[in-house]
Amino acid sequence: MTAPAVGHRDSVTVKMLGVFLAGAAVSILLGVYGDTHTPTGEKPYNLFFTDTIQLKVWFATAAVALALLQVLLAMRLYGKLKWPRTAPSWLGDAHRLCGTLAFLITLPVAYQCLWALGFQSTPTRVLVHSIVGCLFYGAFVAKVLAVRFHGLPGWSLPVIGGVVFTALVVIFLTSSVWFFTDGPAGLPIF
Amino acid sequence: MTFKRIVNGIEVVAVIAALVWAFMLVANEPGAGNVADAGSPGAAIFASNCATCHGADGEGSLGPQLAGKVAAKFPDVADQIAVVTNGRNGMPSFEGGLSKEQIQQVVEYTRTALGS
Repeated sequence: MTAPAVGHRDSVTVKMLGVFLAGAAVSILLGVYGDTHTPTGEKPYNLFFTDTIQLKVWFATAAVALALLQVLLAMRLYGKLKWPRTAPSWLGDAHRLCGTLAFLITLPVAYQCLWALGFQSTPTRVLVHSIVGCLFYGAFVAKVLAVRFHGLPGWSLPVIGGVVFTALVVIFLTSSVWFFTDGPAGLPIF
Repeated sequence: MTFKRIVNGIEVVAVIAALVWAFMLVANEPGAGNVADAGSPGAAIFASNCATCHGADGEGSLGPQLAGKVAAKFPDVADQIAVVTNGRNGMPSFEGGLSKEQIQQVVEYTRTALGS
């Protein structure tokens, strides 16, 4: 093996390590904050919804819808989907836009979660929601960095993106879906 | 090209929003007068375990209103403790999540500090 090849491999390893550590740091920081911060239990905003919980449920639903669209666009970008036959030039930008909007929509939801409720360990649904909520932002940061760093292995972006999407879906399942199905409020209302 | 610029602009907005979000989390530490700062252990337990559904002041949200009503609904405190311990309808069981002493404290808090 030549010296430049070894150097390149080391560089990739350092970048991957940096991506992983940055994501892990964000997740851990959020978890520590949620655990140590004294929850206020307050509802800082509800916009045009009847209550903050409705805002959170529908914002999370919108975020998942956008993320799903982003995954479909990614699959077209990677050639896993063949439709449309000719990929338009704006497909990559649309992919970025969906992800950015999904992220933006999650911010007021997560803010209320962290600030008003904190990291909770009971019941199991809430524990999973708390852990995966922290994981989501760490994975998101990792994905943003992985996009910016060039020369990473081809599998890295799909894997990290998959983790981000999976985390968002788990968050959605343990909050919005619970609210829609088993929550005391029953049917989805605005 | 224009679309790309719009997306770039939105990404910049997202970065700024994320920074503001993080700053607000740290800067907006609860001040005096909040339920969680009321001082009693029951208040802190209530804020982190009950306020999600029953509201910060027990005014009700997903779960029923507690403030001013719960003591009348459960004249015998043991009945309320049983509901918190075992759960009922949409309310989860807190057995295992909270100790008996913590359940006692939060029940006492809802019956007194929130208004009986």
